[in-house]
Amino acid sequence: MADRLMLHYFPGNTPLHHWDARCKFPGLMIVTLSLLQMDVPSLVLFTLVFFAAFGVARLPGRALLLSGKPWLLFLAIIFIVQVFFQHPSFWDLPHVKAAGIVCWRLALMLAYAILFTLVTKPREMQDAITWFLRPLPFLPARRIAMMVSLTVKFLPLLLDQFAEVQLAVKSRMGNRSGRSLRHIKTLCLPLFRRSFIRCDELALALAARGYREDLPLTLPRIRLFHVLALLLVGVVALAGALLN
Amino acid sequence: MPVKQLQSMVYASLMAALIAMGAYIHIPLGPVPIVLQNLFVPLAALLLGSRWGSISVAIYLFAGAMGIPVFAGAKGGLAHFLGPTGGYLLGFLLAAWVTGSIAEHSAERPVAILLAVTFGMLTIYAVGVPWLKYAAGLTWSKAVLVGMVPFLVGDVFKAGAAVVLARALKPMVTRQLRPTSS
Repeated sequence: MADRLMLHYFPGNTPLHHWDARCKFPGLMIVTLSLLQMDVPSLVLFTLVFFAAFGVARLPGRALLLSGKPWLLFLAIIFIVQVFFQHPSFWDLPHVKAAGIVCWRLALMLAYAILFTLVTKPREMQDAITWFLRPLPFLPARRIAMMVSLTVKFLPLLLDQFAEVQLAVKSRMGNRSGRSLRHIKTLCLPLFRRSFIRCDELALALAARGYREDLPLTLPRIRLFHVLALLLVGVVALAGALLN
Repeated sequence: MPVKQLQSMVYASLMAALIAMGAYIHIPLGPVPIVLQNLFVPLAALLLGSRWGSISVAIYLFAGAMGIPVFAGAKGGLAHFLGPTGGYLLGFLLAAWVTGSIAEHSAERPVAILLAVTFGMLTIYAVGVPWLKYAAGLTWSKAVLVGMVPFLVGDVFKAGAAVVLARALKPMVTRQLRPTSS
């Protein structure tokens, strides 16, 4: 396995790890919603809150770096495009500032989503989604929760497999053919083939463990201080909105 | 639950993850970015059919709505459905169903598959452009100019790539989805 920890759970024994996923989900939603309209002062506040939360979760900085690394180049491209191609009179300070704010906002959204997945067990995420969807009639809540959890699981897996296939192609000098279409084909087909085999193994493993959708969901009542923590997130979001 | 259904479920989740990966590879030009999502949306429909293809897109949208960063620009959150690109996101769902439905009735003929992908892509614009017009307060001509015209050339390549990939991968998927037991 490659060393990608993107959107992986990182075990721990901290308040953030123990915070009920049924409160963590709305918390993440509040944060991403409020980040959309934020300017510099509120972005500073949310950055400070993020580092405080990261400290509380006692996560190694390496976990954040490894999770965020694939997106660094991508954020850099967004910045360059925003600065050089969005405005006819590029490279003046207001445009650079605007591009910087867009990237800062995106980076924070990503950071909070990464933090959420680092401190939430896939099982808890699945149970929380089932719990939220259960009141809605005609929706297979458990199946949807399982599929969302699988989708999140597949994201780092696909990156891993892409890195492995790329390495295999390089070791066979496949990247020196000069024919880019052929190169794409040699990368894509093995990647898909490996992914499909992995899917098959996963489905058989689920069947072997007797996966059922009709089992009742037994979750404890949400404790008061978990709800209070969610309210605190709401207060911080409100403070951020007032700072704008 | 039958193994075949479990396999379809896992495959649909994989395709949802692929659509998310397609959203990460994006070039932010104008209000609507160039993304690879609309390559993987028809591919999901061609490989899994209209039902599971649409389900995979629905799962992708649901994951994004929950705040997981799977939309273009690694964004996530319910607010994106109300923004200028919300129509494109909902258009993906309809496009997967349209592409899958046409492909299912075409007996795997390449021209028909290409037609299915073309109709699917047009469906995305049929929902996305009016949404963009109203959400961004643009005129019809401006909405078409900003939200459709710049992407058409890229879409031709994406449609071609989707057909080539679907033809190469369909036998693999069919072989894998063959039930071992039920």
